[in-house]
Amino acid sequence: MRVSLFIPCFVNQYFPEAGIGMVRVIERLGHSVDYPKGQTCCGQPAFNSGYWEEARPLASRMLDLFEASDVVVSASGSCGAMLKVFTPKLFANTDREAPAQELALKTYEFSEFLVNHLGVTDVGARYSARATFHDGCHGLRELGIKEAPRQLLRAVDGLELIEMNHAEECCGFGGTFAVKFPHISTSMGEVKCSSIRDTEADVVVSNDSSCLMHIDGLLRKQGRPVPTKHLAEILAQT
Amino acid sequence: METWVRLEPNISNSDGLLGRPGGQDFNFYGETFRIYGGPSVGDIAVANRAMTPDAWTHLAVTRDDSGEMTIYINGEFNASGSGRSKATFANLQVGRTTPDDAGTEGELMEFRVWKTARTADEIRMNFDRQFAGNAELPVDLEHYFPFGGDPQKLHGGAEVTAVSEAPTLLDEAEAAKEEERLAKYRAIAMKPGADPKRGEPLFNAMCLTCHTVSGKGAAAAPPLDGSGHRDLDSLLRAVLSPNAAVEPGYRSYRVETHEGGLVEGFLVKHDENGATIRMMGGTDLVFPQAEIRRASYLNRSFMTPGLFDALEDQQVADVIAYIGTLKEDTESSENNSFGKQVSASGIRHSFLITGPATALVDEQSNVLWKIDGSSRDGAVLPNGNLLIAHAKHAREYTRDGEVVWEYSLSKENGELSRATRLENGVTMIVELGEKPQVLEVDAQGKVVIRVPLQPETDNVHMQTRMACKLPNGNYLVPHLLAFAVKEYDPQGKVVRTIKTDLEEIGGRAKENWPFTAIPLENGNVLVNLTHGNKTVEFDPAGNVVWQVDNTTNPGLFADPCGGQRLPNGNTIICSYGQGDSNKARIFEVTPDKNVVWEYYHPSKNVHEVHVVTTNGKPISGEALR
Repeated sequence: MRVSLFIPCFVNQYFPEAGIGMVRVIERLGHSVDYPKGQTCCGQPAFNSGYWEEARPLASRMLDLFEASDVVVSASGSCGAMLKVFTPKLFANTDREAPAQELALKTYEFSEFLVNHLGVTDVGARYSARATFHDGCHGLRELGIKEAPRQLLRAVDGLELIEMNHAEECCGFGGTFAVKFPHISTSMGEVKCSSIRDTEADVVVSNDSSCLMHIDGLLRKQGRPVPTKHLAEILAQT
Repeated sequence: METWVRLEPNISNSDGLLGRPGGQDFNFYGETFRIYGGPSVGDIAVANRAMTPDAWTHLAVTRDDSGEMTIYINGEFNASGSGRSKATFANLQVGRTTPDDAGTEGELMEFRVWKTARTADEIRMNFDRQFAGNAELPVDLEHYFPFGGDPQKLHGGAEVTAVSEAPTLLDEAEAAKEEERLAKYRAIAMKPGADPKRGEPLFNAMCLTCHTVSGKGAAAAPPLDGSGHRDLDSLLRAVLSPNAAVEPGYRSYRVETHEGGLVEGFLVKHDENGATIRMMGGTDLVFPQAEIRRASYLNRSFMTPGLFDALEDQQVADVIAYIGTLKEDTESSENNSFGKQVSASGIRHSFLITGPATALVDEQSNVLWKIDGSSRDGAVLPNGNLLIAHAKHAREYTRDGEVVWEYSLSKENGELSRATRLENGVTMIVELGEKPQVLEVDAQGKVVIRVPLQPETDNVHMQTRMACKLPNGNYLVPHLLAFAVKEYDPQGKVVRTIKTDLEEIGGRAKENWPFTAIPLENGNVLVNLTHGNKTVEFDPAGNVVWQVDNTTNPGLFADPCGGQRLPNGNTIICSYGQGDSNKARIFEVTPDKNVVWEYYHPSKNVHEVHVVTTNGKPISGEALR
């Protein structure tokens, strides 16, 4: 199978190791990977802020870029939700409605792709650690992804998955939310960090690098860092 | 005494915390917590708000040397007693209530009885703590049942069980940590140099994201008007430990689906067909029951406990100083308003409210008359006085609050549900209990007519409610659990029955319990069906001729109780079970089911209503209610 990668801004700019991990895992499973060049922001920050007009050119660009792809796999639950859920809304009742729905149907978040599309839970990874998993809101609430990443992590040789209290609760990042409401965002993040520390985990894993960036920053600021890793980074280890 | 309690829906005086048959009773009369001193004493203290079903709530009662009793809800003062009692409270049983054939449906935790009257500070300090596991129990603690009852002495249907969604209680170590945090912020708040002006923009950016003040902000959390009256510790606890107690109307409901979906929002309805969740912004999501894996209230607040931790100390002090300036209370502000009326077409009513609050408001919702305590029914009389049915008494009050006429409930009965003044000056009274009956009582208090009723149930609270007298001299009486409105002649013979379990309105399964039976001028009968969440007009033969419910007005009908048909054909309905303060407590619908007027109140539900004027004009003719 030829798999097209959708690498969102956060991963491209700050966490390329997440994208690299995805390539390793998918290729290890015997599939080929391509990266349609010219990917930009998918338009989600503008969409979420109410600037739908401004979001459309960016979202439209995504429709063109992935038009020829068979399957699109996203490195982020949040940006995956943009393609699967919000872009069709953005183009409802326009001449781009059909391609938007077509892209939504062939787009998968990374863990969802492995578990539900390929039917794989054990990708042959080995990683010795006590890990805890943070559910990003968009992956959980918009895409309904909760079990897939956990199934993948449980199958990792040497990894012990420990659930934190209230794993489903927002970490406070929320994209523009963190900018608009810094105090509330920080306060929510502190609650999340305290749940993480209670698990005494060696590593915090998520399928959204943006949540991890927020959590990592707070943990460091408190002087009690816990490494954060994208799910693909863990699964890439052998 | 104090305890955490969670009660099942349909809260009544069959639910209780402590009592003995026929005697003293700490129970939930009319969905509201009260301390009842026994038949000769009556109510000693009544809470000023109704209980919310399925919500864990902390209740505490203290009695001081003078016999005055005080009720605290979720660690904060709620109501002072209307009477005093120095009587010995003895031989009481946990969870036992007066009706022999019923019992408390719910769960209790951390049941404590103290030797001394606890102070407000002590109650606030301890309500979210558990003592089980402590090295030593407090010396003043006389009885302590961590799980509501002593497992050695359980009777009836009582059992020790794993509770669902238990409140988050702190153990000794957690409590000590919490104390330390509280002390830290208390010191910060009390340091000189705090500036409310600097605090205001911070407060607006942070708090008004979810709360409102004077209507500004987002209504996702309780209004903060009047917070300046809270003492520092009460305020700090609310900010630092928001999960300790969540205001009932703002609790979040979580639905998890088999497909892995997870949605949180305000619960509109969850029955055997599925759940309806209202998202922020007002969109309703409907989940068929077959798709639901798990659903429950979250016992955590939307508010995060670390808000102050994200601020500099000086900022915390400034925000607290600003909150200290918020002294205008929405409920008792200078303009004396009580709730607010909303109508796009400019409809304004003056009306009497009965229920947890008893008040007559004018068309600007300002209070014209108000008494402390709860009531069941009431009407504004032609002479301007107010006829109010309390639990055990019916009283006629002047506008100055003087009682000029009174009737007390018969000994053999348990509740008084209605009092209306008939054209000939006698008062019609409805009694529930061993001998359910409609009475007519004259000005001297003498019973001149007694009509025995056939409610088809021993469940006192469910026997009947808002009966009416017909022009032909008969009585139209709604019987909740008989699923019927019955017409009785003065001898008590049933001459007509209107059934409310008809298939076309959902049959028995929909639990259409008739609450009103209002005879209309054309001979039809208007019935609010509480629990079934609809209002139906029947023709004289009992056929449904008009119906309005949540299908046209999602979330608006929540246990419709009292109501009134206005001269213009519109219908006023009280949503007595409305748990969402963002929704109307009373609303008015047109014959084509459009909502044209709504009455909102931050905390008080309305049991029965009497609209007396509309846009300056008195309601013509006899009030149809």
